Amino acid sequence: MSRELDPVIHQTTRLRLMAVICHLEEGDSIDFTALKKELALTDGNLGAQLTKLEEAKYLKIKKGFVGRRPRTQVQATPRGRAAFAGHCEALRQIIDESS
Amino acid sequence: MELTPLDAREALSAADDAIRSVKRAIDRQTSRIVLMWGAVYVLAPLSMHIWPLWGVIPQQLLLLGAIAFSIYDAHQNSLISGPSSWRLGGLWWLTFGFGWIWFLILDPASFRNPEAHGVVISRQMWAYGVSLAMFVYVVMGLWIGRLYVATGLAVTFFTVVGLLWLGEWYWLWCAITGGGTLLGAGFWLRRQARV
Repeated sequence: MSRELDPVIHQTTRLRLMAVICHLEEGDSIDFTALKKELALTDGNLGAQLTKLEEAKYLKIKKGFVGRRPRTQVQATPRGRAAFAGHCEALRQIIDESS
Repeated sequence: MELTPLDAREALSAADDAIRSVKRAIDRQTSRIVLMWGAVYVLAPLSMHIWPLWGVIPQQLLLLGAIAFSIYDAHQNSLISGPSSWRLGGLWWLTFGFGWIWFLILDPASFRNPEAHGVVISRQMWAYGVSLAMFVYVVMGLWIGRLYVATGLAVTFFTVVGLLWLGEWYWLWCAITGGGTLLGAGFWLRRQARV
């Protein structure tokens, strides 16, 4: 059965974000600042891409405070995990079909 | 949406690179903590080997380690947090259970030395504290990485071997093997973070 590429995840930055977030254990979340630093993104770019993924219900964004410092954490939803797995499967199928 | 096999390969490779980058950041962060406790684990038993009656030295070193850890922890953003409270709850109960049984076996409180200068740290007490801390490494290692499981088991093994068979060389043995294992694990994590 051939899988479809996911148009939301297809864009490179969103693909990288989903890879990192879906790699976490279920229920775990990753810090916004860490994502920004490790994926070398700007606040604006990261915020915009996360919003798109959140609108697709692939992510949950949780805002809170640690002491006085604001803290944003990002967590994959089951729907997001399934979409990412499907997208990767579709990419692998494209590679397999060529060989 | 049309993709060539090369595009697909590049996309998967970009995803893997992103995962590796975050893993490296986590290794970098935890290596500092493991290295710091490794240094404490070398210095504290070494001081007991040199000055066996001055338990106050390792006590202060452990306190210093705990303060340094708290300050570091408060000033860094932990990259990943797991609200999966069942794990933390489970860890707490497992550690409590292990601590209880281990306490009955080792009986660390039975040691008394009237010549000691204020603070008494017996071999059993050290073995008890270390194996309890290493138990946490082992259990947490089950979800954060096998290196922690191996480190926890190795340090506990060395500590128990020293306690049972090495007599007065116990402290030096602990400094070399236990401290060495922790420092080795810290440096290995650091190296991983650079690869």
